Formats: sequence, structure tokens, C-alpha cells
Amino acid sequence: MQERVERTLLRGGLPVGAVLAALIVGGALVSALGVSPWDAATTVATAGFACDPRYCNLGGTLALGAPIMFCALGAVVNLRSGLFSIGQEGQYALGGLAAAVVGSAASAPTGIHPALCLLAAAAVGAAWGVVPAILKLFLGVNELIISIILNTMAGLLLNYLVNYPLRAEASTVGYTRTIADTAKLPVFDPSTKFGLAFVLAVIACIGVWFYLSRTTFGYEQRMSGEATAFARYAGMSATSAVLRAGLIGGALAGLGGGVQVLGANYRVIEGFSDGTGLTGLTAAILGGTTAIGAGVVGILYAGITVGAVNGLQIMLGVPREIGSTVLALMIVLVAIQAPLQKRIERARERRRTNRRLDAGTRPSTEQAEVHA
Amino acid sequence: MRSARTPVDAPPPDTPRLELRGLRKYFASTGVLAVADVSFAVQPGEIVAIIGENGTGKSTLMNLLFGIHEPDAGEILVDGSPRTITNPQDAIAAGLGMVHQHFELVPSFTVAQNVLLGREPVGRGLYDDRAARAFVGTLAARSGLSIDVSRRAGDLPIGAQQRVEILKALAAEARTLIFDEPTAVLTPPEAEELLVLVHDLAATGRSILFISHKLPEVQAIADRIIVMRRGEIVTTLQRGEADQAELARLMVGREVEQPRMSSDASPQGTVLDLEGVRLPGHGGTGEASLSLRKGEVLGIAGVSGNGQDELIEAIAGLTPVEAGTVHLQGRDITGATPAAIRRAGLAHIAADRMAVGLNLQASLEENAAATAFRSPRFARRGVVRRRERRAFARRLIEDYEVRGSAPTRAVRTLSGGNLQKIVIGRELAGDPAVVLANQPTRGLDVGSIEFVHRTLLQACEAGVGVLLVSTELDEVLALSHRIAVMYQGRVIGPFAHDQIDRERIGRLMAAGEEAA
Repeated sequence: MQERVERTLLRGGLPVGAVLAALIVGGALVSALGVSPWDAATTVATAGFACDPRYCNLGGTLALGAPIMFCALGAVVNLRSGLFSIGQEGQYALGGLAAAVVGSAASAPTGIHPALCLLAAAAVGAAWGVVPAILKLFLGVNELIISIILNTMAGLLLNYLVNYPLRAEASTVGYTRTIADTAKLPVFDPSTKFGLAFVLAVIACIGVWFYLSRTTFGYEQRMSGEATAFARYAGMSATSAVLRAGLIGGALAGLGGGVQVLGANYRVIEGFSDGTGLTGLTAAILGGTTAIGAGVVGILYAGITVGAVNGLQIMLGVPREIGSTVLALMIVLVAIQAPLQKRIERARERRRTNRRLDAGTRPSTEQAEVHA
Repeated sequence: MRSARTPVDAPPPDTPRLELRGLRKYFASTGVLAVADVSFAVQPGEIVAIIGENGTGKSTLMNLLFGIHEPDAGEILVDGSPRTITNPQDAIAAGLGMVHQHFELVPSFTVAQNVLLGREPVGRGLYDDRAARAFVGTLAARSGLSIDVSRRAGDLPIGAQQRVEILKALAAEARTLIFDEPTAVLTPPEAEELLVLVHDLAATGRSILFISHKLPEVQAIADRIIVMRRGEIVTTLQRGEADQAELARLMVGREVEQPRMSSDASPQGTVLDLEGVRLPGHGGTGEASLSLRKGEVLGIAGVSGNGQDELIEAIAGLTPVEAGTVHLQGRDITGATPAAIRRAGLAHIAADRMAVGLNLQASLEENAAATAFRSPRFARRGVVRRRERRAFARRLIEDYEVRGSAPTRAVRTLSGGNLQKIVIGRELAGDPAVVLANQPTRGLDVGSIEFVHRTLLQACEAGVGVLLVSTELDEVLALSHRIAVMYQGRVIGPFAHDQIDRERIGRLMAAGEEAA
């Protein structure tokens, strides 16, 4: 019993320790710039997560979090199904563009128009997302590499389209026409653009969680991702599981672009592909490739970004890059904590057994049998 | 270099060649005390066998001797003086030679090149192949090993490859030879040859440590038998002190009974029919045809790698059938998907339960429902019926005595025997007409083997047709109503149980045909 408590503490404690260590290093960087780390920390926290009647910073965080959460969910669906695609960035970009096109070129009633735009975003994202899956399955192409290439292609394609065929008017920067008012997603707080987009992201989190853990399709995808030979042997179709992963994952990341356009930007500017998809991928990994974890980490990520920009840069004059550095450090530290945890557990186990041996008792036969 | 037949230096009288004192090894990662205070000595010219079930620490003991693991406590003495062995080079320097279960030869090198790898003869700054061939040829002749030293190792049959491994140890002037399950990969005639060779090597004064779980060969060859159980030496017996049943009892710690098929069963009606099936990788060498009847066990013997895996996978729909047809209960299943074949009444106990039969990362209940996850029993409108699945897993744990587990626990932590119980429980749950059992007891301890055998025979009595593939001839002989042999992708037989004996099967396994 005591052992179990210790193990739980260890498992929960290490990620927290990783985050704390990253904050300490960030604090050292900040103090090197002559700012008190405590001030910096409280400023980031206030600027990222506080909410008062005049201006709700948390609203800004949640608004920024929505597209990140969608991209993170797309990554979760891909990774859990054994499709190691990191193409969320490209899916996000083209999904956003599709939403902007349908939002500005088509006309439909208020309730229907956003739905049509999101449908287009999801469809384009899915089409872009299924490409690595198809190439992997039928030509044996490495999906990691192909998805990186697809990201670059999507970014360049988007820049071309917004500069030439879809360009709104002659100006120095290319951008599309603004979407119709009927296509805009409702906003609860106009100053931060916090609105329905975030609610949709939360619903998507719950939906992906349910899909992966409760449906036969999700089960088939997880089994195929974890043990392909086993899945085939048991009569599952790894092929359709990977195809579904590409389609659903792409649709989710495409929706991320869609809600960003319909809920905040209202048009697509050159350079729309700004790393949101990759941020989502990181959030997915930090969140343990679970739907709920990815959602929570996605919000935290958005909060620290907002805090670093509005708090550190604007209020304290510290470069926002410090915030990015702390985020990057967290990723590194969280990545090493899993092997570290294993080592610590082993050392503890060894000490316990040595004590038992010295006391003259053997490990119970039950245990030996389970591990034999 | 000293030649092989020359008697090695005689140590002072009464000094053991090799002595282990209080050796202990604990693996923290798995929480297993693999070797606990093991002490014994081997005299020059003595053959000492170590027997024990899988997972009793025999292999760990050998790894300690060979510097692959370091002991937590205890010491190793060679010719009376303590030696620190932290890597295989130390072990070789101490005169220990290991003949591994899996060979470590360079397939594209000749026998001579393999034997002298790392100590090649050099003339005028270049590798001297003539000298190498001459040296290894002499070594082989003097040690009584027949082998063509200029052939490529990859072209040799398994038995000859093993002789190359022995030559490697002799060339390194090993005075103690350690054999780790040496007959596991050999045909019966090859195994007999090896035993003669081991005996001859001991007669030249070399000490032999012979690790095995096959009792007949241990009894035939060993001067002394050390019985291990759970990392400890249970007892040491002199030659002829105990019979096989007694040895088995000592090994397992209780009375063991080999379940046998009842010969008065009367199988009727074909449930599985293969006609002219050509298997990938064995194209051109032969076609497999056989028919399995309801309520019988059809055993397929053979040296591993003769197409058994491909045959099973072809029936299960996991490997394409290049030619021929497969019928299950009269329906053509050639080329159908694994799921469709399972629905048509096939169950499959995969040879590799760790990577194929189970998903070790998933929970027990997710594994238990894997082959029927879409059926109305476990899913409704695409949503998993978790209560049903958990109840099924709980019943499986109870019926098959999967000790120390729970439906939601990851199966990773379970022992091999318990893992196999989950596989078999799941496969038999769907009321199959045919069970493919590929190496169903590989790597299991005696108690689990007994359980698996009894379960398969019960299924057979209930009318299931069992196609059993095994490289353990004793297993095939004990369970099968009819026996076939696989050789180079071809099925020879089947023969009725009373029309074939061990010797004839051995000849078929080795050569594919009867000697004139």
C-alpha cells in the first residue's frame, strides 16, 4: 500500500518537477535581464490567466487556445493510431483557407453559413491529412518526412493563393476577402474574441476522448497503432484504421484553421501558417497523447504565450522569446522525465529487495511467478 | 596455439576446473531474484548438466559466467583462483567457451574465417587463408568434428553451424565448454551426433556445462545433474540416481503428468481441407495438402523454419496463398481476410504471443475481446459494451486461473504462462470449428504446458479440430491422433499415430524422405 502511494507520488511529482525546473531556468534568464523572477512569474500568470471586469486576459488565452486544441487533437488521433504524421500545420493552414473561401464567396443564413465553412475546413484538412496515410500504406513512404514536406507545400500554396487568385485588393501584403457576417462564429467577449470557437474545441476534446476510448473504430485504431501484427492477427483492418486516422486527424487540424478564421481573423493573410499546428503537436505530446491532456496543455500553452507577449514584453520589457524558451525547456524536461522515472523506480525496487534479503526473507513466490 | 587433442595443463589434484561460490543476481527492472546463492564445482573432464524450467535462472547463470551480467554477490574461481569476469573477453581469457543457443556466425564467411575471427593468421601483412584453412582443418580433425572448412557458414545446415561454434571455442583454447540448450535447434539425428561429440570432448579433459530442459539427453550424457528451481539449486544427483519422472518432479516441485490424447476417439468429417497450397518463400519446393477432421489433433512435426509458420499464416489469412485452395467446414476461404476466416470458425493461437497473440500495452479486457470486438456481444452501434467486455474478461481470469490479474490491468506484467492462458481462453471462447495451435507451449514452464495440453485435448473432445504445430517431438507424439512432418514447405503424411515412430519422424524431419 505504502509502495503504491510512493509510486503515485513519483509519477505525479516528476512532471510537476519538470515544469518547476523549467520555470526556475526561465527565472534565471529573466533575472539576468534585471527583472525579478517573482515579478515575471506573477506577470505571466496575470497576463495569461487573470480576468477582471475591464479586460479578461483568460478570454484571450482561451481564444488563442481553441485552434491549438484542435491541432493537438488531430495529432493525438494520428499518433495513437500509429500514424506518425506531423502534418497538422499544413492541414490547419489549408483548412483555414477553405473556411475563408466559403465564408466570403458563398452566402447562407446565419446558423448554416459557419457550419458550411467548418465543413469545408474539415474536408480540406482531411484530404491533406490522408495523403501521408495513403503514401505510407500503399507505397511505404515514411509519413514523418512526407508530412514535413506537405507542411511546406501547404504554406507556399496558401501564400500563392492569397497573393494571386484569392487576393482581395492591391496592397503590400496579400490577403483574402473578409468573410460575410453570416459566416462569423459568435463571440462572447469582443475585446478578446473569446467565443464559440473555444466551446467547439472543448466539445471536440470530449468527442475525441469518447471516440478513442469508447467506440469500436477508436479501439481498432489504438490496437493497430500499438501493435500492428496483433491487430492484423485478431482480424482488425490496420489499413482502414490508418486511413481513418489520417482523415479524422486532418479534419480536426483543418477545423483548427477554420475556427481561427471564423472566430478571430475573418480572413486569411499571407503567412497564416504561423506554427499553430506544430504548437498543437507539441501540446499533444506533452499531454501524453490523450484527448483531455492535449486540450489542457493546449490551453496552458496559449496562456503562457499570451502571458509572455502581453506580460513580459509589454509590461516588463522582457523579450517574448524568454517565454518561448521556457516552453521549449518544459518540452525537453518532460521528455526526459519518463526514462528518469523508470530509473528511480528501479533503484527503489533494488533497495527494497536488498533490505528484504538482508532481513532473510525471499520475495514472495506469487511475485516471482508473475514476473517469471 | 595449442592443438585440440593435446591434454590441457593439469591443475593441482582435487582443484575444480571451475567453481562458483555464492553467486547471486537480482534484476531490479522485473523484480526477479534470478540467481540466489548458487555454488557448485566442475572437475576436469566432467560433464555437469543443469536442468530447470524456463525462468529458473539457468541462462542468467551462464550470462554471469560469460560476463554479460555482473553478479551482485559471490565469486567465480577457475583452477582454484578467483577471476573477475566483466565481459566475454575476460571469460574467454579464463578458458571458458560458450556455445550459444542462437549462433553468432558471419554467414558470408567460410568456416575457417569464422573460427579464426579476430585472430586471423597473417603472412606478409595480409590475411593468410591457406594457413587458416590448414589450422582449422587440423583442429576439426583432431577434435573429431567433421566439417568442410572452406564452405560458407551460411550454406551449412544447422547442425554443422553449431560445430563451427564449438570449433570457435576450441580455437580460443577453451577448457570449459558451456552449452546452452544445444539441441533445441537440431533434428533428432543431429542431436544424437552432438551428444557423442560432447562426450568425446569431455574425454580429452575438457569440462562441460550442459544446460537443458530435455531430460532424456541429460540422463544420457551427464556425470552429474544439478536441478535448479526459482534461482536456487534444489538438489544435485549423480548419474543414474533418479529416473525421468523423478527428475521432472524435482524440477517442477510436484508430480507432473503428461496429458495424452485418447486413442479411442473416432474423428469424423473434414473441417479443414488444404489442397496443393504453395507457400511464399517455399515456392517450387513443394505443395502442402492435408485434411483435418472434427475432434482430432493433427500434429505437424518438423525442424523450425520448414514452412510451418507460413502454413499456419496462410490458413489464417495472414499470408497470401500462392496456389491451391483452403476449405474451412466446406467453404472456400482461400484469400479471405483474417476477420472473415475467423467468423467462418477458425481460431488461431499464434506462435509469438508477445508481438502477435497479444497487445502487451493494452489491458487484459481489451486483449480478451480483440477477436470479436465488432460482434453484437461486445459492441452496440459502434460503441464498446464495456460491462460485457469486463464480465467476459473476469470469467476468463476465473476459468483459466490467470492468477494475479484484473480486467483493467495491462497484460505486460504477466508471466508467459498467464499470457498464453489469455490467448487460449480468448481463442476457444468463440466456439471455433478449427484451432490452429502454433508452438502453443514454447517458452512455458512445465505446469503451464500441462494446462495448455489439457485445454487443447478438452477442446478436441468437444469436437474441435486442432492443427498442432510444434518443434517438440514429444509434444506432437503425446497429443496427436495423426502426425505429419513438414520439410521445405511440403507436408509429408499424415500418418496414424500407431503407424509411425520417433525414429521415422526423425528421418523425415532431417531429410524429408525415408532412407532406403
